[in-house]
Amino acid sequence: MKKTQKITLNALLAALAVSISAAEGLLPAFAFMPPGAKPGLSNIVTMYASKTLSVYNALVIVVLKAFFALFTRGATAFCMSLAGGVISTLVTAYLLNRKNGRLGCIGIGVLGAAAHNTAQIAVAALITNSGIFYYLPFLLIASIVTGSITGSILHLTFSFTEKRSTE
Amino acid sequence: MKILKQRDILVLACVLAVAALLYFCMPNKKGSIAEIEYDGNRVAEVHFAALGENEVKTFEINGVTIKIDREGAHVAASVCKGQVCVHTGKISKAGQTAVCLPQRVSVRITGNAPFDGITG
Amino acid sequence: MNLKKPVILILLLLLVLPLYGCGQNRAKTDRFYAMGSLVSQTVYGADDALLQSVESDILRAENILSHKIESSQISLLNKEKTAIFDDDIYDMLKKAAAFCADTGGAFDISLYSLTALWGFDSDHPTVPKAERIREALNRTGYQNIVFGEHNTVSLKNNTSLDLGALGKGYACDIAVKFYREAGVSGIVNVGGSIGVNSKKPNGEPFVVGIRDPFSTDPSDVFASIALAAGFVSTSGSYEKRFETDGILYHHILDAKTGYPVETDLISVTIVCDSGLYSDMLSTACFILGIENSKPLLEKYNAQAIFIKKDKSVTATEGLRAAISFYKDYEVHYI
Repeated sequence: MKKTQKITLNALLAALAVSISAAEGLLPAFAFMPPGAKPGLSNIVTMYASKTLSVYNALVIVVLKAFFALFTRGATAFCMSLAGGVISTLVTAYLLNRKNGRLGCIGIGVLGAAAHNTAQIAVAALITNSGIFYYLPFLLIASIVTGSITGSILHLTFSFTEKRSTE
Repeated sequence: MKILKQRDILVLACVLAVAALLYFCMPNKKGSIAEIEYDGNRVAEVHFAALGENEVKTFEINGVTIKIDREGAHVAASVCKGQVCVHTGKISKAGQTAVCLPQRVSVRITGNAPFDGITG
Repeated sequence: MNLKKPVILILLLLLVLPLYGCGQNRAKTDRFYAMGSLVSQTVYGADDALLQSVESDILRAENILSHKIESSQISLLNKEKTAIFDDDIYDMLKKAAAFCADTGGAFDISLYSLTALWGFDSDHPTVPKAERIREALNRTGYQNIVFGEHNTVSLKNNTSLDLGALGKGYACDIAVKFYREAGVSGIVNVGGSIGVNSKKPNGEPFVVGIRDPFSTDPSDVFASIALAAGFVSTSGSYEKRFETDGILYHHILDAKTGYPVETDLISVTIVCDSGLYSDMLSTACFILGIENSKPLLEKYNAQAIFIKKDKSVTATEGLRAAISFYKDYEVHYI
């Protein structure tokens, strides 16, 4: 990929991630989920970035997302977004770029979602108290669902863009 | 890159197993104490057992209003923007927490009641 | 992959085991209204049927013993001055009457004419006129209770019974008997009277808090007792009471004068191996005072904590090991 293409792709993905994140922010709280739990569709973007660009690019997008949360929802949202984003990006980047024993997109999506949720609960527990771990089993089950969805969309995106790739 | 391999099913099963393990080994009974914390410090503690039939205790901490009655605790109002805490609703099970993150106030239900009963 | 099948089997096992293991010691709580108060019971590793049995038996007892229920056996006895009771109730009444004698009449289950006059349970209790109290006193006295053949109980001199001072403890006995027979660990709380069976599944004893009588907050505890078995009841002048013309009237009446007993005590907590006696003793010892309670405590093998209005605390030696204090009250052991 040429340098200009990389820069534009970065910018596009960053904007996409932030806007998906903003849209999700409008969703109401779910039963059995800790207040604030979201489907995490913006993770599709970061996962795509860590495969087509690099994990560093993906991490920058994560930080940008976190700052957006800081300006719109406050300091605590910043910490949660950053923690969840960084951990899940590291995990998915590693899984996506392995040569041997690769997992399918759904598996990667689920593990990324699980890592994201667990990291966020850990941060929330630090800010408040350990009682919040009560929600972990429900979040993990949710991460199977959301991770499968994000993983599937990621796969679709890959097959779509690969077909159209002129490299 | 494939969408789904056999290994993926294994991964899903593992996550499910961990979730199930956590769920069943967590204390699931109705909690006996509501602990209110601000900035990580315990500010108030209410024993459900000691409340009267229709008694409601109200606490105002850092702009967050918490009401506790025999059935459980909930955040009645808050000055925060998201109002997520208020939407949490009433909690009563041990381990459940209603949190106002921006105001750093939380009310948590614990089952590790120092008192199994109060006489008097 | 040949590894996959056994791994999946192991995972399935992991799913099933916690279900079994953690379910055994699951605590179950039940709450209902009986004996004029909220009853709360928690059992470990038992099923709903046990909780239901306890609940229905306690309600049955209330329907027999409560003088507030017009159709109860006690109300019938109070009206007709004679009634027949089931074996268990008849035995309990005999024990209660014998206990009245033991306290020299300080504790008396036949004070209904007086308690009805004072009306502490009503919305607006008032101080009855002296003549009315004198007249009501003539219609009290445990000696007027006659136990006849075939479980018959009769009352002389127009006496009537008020079992308010033992109903809660008796209900605890009912519950704990069920827990003991089922072999499960459990705790029952009947409006402040508590009964406990065996330690909790994790090997720890139940911890019972004693309410601070000087605090208006009912969850304010000044001490706690660790119990693996036994019953706890408390009688105090800080709950049911009213004030008129600057004088405080509490609900524990002196059977001789007909007025609230004059004492420097504010609360008495009793620990012993019977719910019925823990409840009766808490009232009796409150009336008798520390010194005169000693022989009773010894006879019934009970432990006690006396709290005086000046905040000094006196506890029996047997509690030293089991009690923990959370406040700085001066404690003296006897």
